[in-house]
Amino acid sequence: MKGILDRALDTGREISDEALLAAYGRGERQAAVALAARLTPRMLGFAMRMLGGDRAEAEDVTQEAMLRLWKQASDWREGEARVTTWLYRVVANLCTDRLRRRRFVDMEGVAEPEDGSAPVSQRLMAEERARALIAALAELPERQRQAVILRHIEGLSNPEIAGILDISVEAVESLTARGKRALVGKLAPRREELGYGE
Amino acid sequence: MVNDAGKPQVGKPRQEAEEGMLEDLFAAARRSAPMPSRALWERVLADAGEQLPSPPEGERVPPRGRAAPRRRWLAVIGAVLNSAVGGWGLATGLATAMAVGIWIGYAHPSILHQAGPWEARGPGRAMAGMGADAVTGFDLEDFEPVLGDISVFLEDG
Repeated sequence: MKGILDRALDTGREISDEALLAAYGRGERQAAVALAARLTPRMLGFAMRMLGGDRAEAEDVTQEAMLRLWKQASDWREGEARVTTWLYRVVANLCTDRLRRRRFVDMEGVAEPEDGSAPVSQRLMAEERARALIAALAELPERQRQAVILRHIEGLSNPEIAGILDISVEAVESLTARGKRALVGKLAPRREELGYGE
Repeated sequence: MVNDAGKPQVGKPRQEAEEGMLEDLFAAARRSAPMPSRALWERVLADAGEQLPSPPEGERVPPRGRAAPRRRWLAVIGAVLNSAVGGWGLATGLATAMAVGIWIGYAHPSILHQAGPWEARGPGRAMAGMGADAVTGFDLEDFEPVLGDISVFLEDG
């Protein structure tokens, strides 16, 4: 019997995440690799941005979320939910747990933006901009941060985000609008330092 | 300058510039998604292997083993890469290449014994310590002839 990747190659059809998960649930090892390859980088990126750029913690969250996906595979009912929606929700919840724990244990979890008085070389500008965005995101209220990252960095639609955060589309629009305004307010003073001068 | 309500529009160009800056920062973030470390790939795939359900009787997918044609493997890799690159950009495609490289060693270690240009670069090195159930123990650089130079994307994690 052929595996799902072989069958897809024969037919030339794209394989959905849901089909891959179903194949994994039937014991097809190859499906796990394809799913991991698709989803691990996305979930890591989301987790890192939610956790203020903490890679080690984001990798732990990503592994835990993927582990829950593997455990869920046999019971997954196709058509009920998208795999990405379910997984983003798991990552969001795991990040929330971590952030709550951080508040009690480590108040230095989020890096402060660096002093902008020193000139930043062109070579390091991209990194500096990335750090500035991460730091500004980290100062947003958590729901705003989730919505802004999912909308403007992960590129999800408002209805998808509504499904992940379990809120209305209107609430998503409100969160992203407020989040963007807040980000502009936090980043505007650093415009020239970040190379966006007059 | 005044708007329709007769109120002065002080700073509108500045506001547009600041919003443009934010859009630019978002775009840069989209282009530079963090790459999972090799350690994370291995942990995720190890978990997948541990949790893998047993296939129903009669639906077992046979292993390809030594006889699998190299061209077929390239097609499989290409299909996974295309699938990822199409939706999520180059970074994910490269990440996929890493995962597929790990998978080849993980699920089908015998592919490493097939005649190929990588064998001339250090026979046995890629297979050091690898068993049928091992995720670790090979060097992704050994897949360079198949996947391109992906070693620069490896992170120590």
